[in-house]
Amino acid sequence: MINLAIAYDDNDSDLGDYFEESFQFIRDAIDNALIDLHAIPGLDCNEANVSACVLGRPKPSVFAGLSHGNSDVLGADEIFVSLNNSHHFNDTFFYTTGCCAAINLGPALINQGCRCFVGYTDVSLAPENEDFNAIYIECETYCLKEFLCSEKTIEQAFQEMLDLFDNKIDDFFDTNEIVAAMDLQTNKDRLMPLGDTSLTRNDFIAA
Amino acid sequence: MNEIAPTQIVVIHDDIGEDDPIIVVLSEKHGTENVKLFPHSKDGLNYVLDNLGKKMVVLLDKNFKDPNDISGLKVFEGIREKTSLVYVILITVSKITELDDDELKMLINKDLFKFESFTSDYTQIIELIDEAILSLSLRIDSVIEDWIMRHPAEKREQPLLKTKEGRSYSMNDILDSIRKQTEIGVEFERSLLKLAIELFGRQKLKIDD
Repeated sequence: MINLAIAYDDNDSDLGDYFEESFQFIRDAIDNALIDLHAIPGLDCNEANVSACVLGRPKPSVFAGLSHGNSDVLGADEIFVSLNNSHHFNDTFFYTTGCCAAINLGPALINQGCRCFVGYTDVSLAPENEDFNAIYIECETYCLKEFLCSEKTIEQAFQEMLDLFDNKIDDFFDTNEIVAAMDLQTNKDRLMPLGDTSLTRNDFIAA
Repeated sequence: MNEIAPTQIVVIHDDIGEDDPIIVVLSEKHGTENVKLFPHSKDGLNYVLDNLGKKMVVLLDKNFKDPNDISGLKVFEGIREKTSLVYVILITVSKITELDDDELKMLINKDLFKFESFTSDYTQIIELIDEAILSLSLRIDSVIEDWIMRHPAEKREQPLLKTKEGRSYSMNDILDSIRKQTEIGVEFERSLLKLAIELFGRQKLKIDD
């Protein structure tokens, strides 16, 4: 089994629905026979809970953070990943759609033994039109979903994610949704993997 | 290009009157409402700074007779403290050699659009203004401004961009930021250019296929 923990801030006043939809998208895509999912919703998203969850389950493991973020932390009102608990994520694949996490948090996680990190190098954009939520979510979580649902390496899944962004950008352009196309272009350009991208899900089967 | 938001021509000059041929010709060409004449430099500077949301070309006199007026160079510096998007044409009856080194460096480094002698032949000045208007119309910020102005006023107040930091920006926020060259406006410009480049690049590949 692969241990997957997803912390998602469905309690956020502005983007709670978006983060919950992101969680549901991944949850619905994965095979429960292969992956043991532990969901951490917004009210439980704090450093103590998240650290306990990561430490309390066998490693290697996969962790996803779907929330606000900045260069040093994940979370908004309540921080749940920071430099304070970054050492708990050793031997994990850490994936986040929070803003700017690849600036400081990602490198700190890698320095603490996290095997691979994928996140944004700058502010990421959410759709102003909620009708587009699914497309934005499909794009920015594709690498994680594909990593969990196939034998592809993180590098392969990441490259396919960039291609998916291009396809969706073209679709938006074809339907005259230029601002949405710009948003996706911006998000695409700001996603970055750190660490060992040659890993597949087989490298994360807990002993 | 049919512009929704036409460029305003702001003439700040104490030797030009409403009936001068240059003003008459500019008004006929661009519409009276788009030509603003200010005989006092401070009034002209204030008008420009109060209207940074508009596309403007400033025809600026270098020297003013009224001791209460500030020089054209000071007006230019005052404009550049707030925006780099207003094109300024500095005109003078004096020789360029009368400018000292520091003044010349300032004009060049702060992107004076043109420096021209003011003579009775105003046609050359009109050509420079046309050139400035054309240059403005080809700038990405002007393209975005025209696109925004095509939307109804109420639509321009609605959120257009939303970051996962929890901030939203309307078309008016973006327009204002573009004119003042602050972060979100510059990012919007960059994003549009990047999209255009990417789409153009992929289109070429499709043709090659």
